[in-house]
This record gives sequence, C-alpha cells and structure tokens, in this order.
Amino acid sequence: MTTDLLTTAASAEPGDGLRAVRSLHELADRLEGLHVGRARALGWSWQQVADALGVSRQAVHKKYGKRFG
Amino acid sequence: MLERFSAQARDAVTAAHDQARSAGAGSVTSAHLLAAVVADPRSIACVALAAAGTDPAAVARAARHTDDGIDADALAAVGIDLAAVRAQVEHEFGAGALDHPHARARRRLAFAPDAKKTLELALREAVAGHDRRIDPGHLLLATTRLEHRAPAARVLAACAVDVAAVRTQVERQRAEHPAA
Repeated sequence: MTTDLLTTAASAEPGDGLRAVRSLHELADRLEGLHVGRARALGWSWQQVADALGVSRQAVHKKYGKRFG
Repeated sequence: MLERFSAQARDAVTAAHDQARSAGAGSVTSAHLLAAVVADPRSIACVALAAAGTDPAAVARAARHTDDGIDADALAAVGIDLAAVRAQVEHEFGAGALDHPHARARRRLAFAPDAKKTLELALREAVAGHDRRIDPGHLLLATTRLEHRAPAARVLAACAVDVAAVRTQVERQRAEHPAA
C-alpha cells in the first residue's frame, strides 16, 4: 500500500491523489460514526470515546452528542 | 413536469437515483443525472457527445468521481479494496452500514438543488426547441447550463466537453431522428 500511496501521491494528475484522500476522509468519518455509536451503546463515557480517538471530550460530544447522546 | 419526460428520460432519472443510492451518496446530484444520461450508448445524449468529440464513458467515469459517497476507484489506487472493507463493516454493523447517513435514514434520496435545477433547465430546453417531450438530449443540454460549481458542470469541465459542439450535435440528431 505504501508504494501505491506514494505512486498516487506523486501522480502527475493531482486529482487522482486528492480524490483518494477525500474518499479516505469520508470512509474514516463513516467508520468513526459507527464505532462511536457502538461504544456509546455499550456505555462508554464521552471521555473514554474521546481518549480512544485522541481528541477532546468537547470535540467528540459536539460532533456526536445529538446522534448518540 | 415528469409527465412530459420521455420513457428514456424517466429511466435516466430513476437510474440517477439508484446510482446515488448504490454509491452511498446523501442525495441525488446533477452528476448522478449526467452519469445516467450518458449510460445508454444509443441515447441521443451519447451519440451527440461522441459526435462532439467526447467519450461518453469518460464522462460517466468522471461523474462517478464527484460523488459525496466514497470513490472505490480512488481507494483502489491507494491499495484499499472498498468492497472488502464494506463486507467487513456490514458483517459487524449490518447491511448498508457504510452508506451516507442520509441514505440510511430515508428510503428515497432527495434530489439536491442542482439536480432539481437540471430537471427545470431540461424542461426549458424542450420548450425552447418546441419539443413536446423531454428526452436525454434535453437533460444533457441542461447540464451545460448549470452554474460552474454544480457537480455536473465540473464533470463537463474536467472532460473538456465542447458545449457548443454538443448543442449542435443534439440538434442534428433530433433533426435526423425526429421521433427519438
């Protein structure tokens, strides 16, 4: 994957690399939502979720408080 | 307005919706409409595009890349097999788990403002051409009149589509095959 990533990153066509990055962001975002939802359903606190994601409790609560409050 | 759509144009609208849903997109955009319009190689839209020097398949490909969904081709280029990721995630979280939250919340996706605008412009194209029916050719021409930031407009720009030539070709096709 590293070689592929470098190849794409070094591609003459910046659009290819940028589309890959955008899709990765989108994929990560959707996975995050699924896992945060599951963690909350299992009784994890916002602080535990935040620690696992490496972000502040405020940030995670702001993003998911409504959905998984 | 939909009653004025030809069977082919109606099919394209349905196909655009299905395509948006299967891409896991949150709404149907003008790019989904454009992709659906150029999907049938025999349609007036495809014939006109090809005659104007653009490969319809390239337009369809570029249209898929503007999705707010996840682009499987782009991920494959960095070594990620989206189908495998999707299968694993659905195994853990259930069918459709990776789809856009809007796609999961509603059975029917909403048409984004630029997609609605495309349908409206297609009607105007038909009225201007004194055509009783709105066909895929009108839909294609409608996408050329969208403001430049609209998803379909970006696809046409990325494919360097010669808008004036496409218009000429659509009109020529229509003159040669009036019933189509």
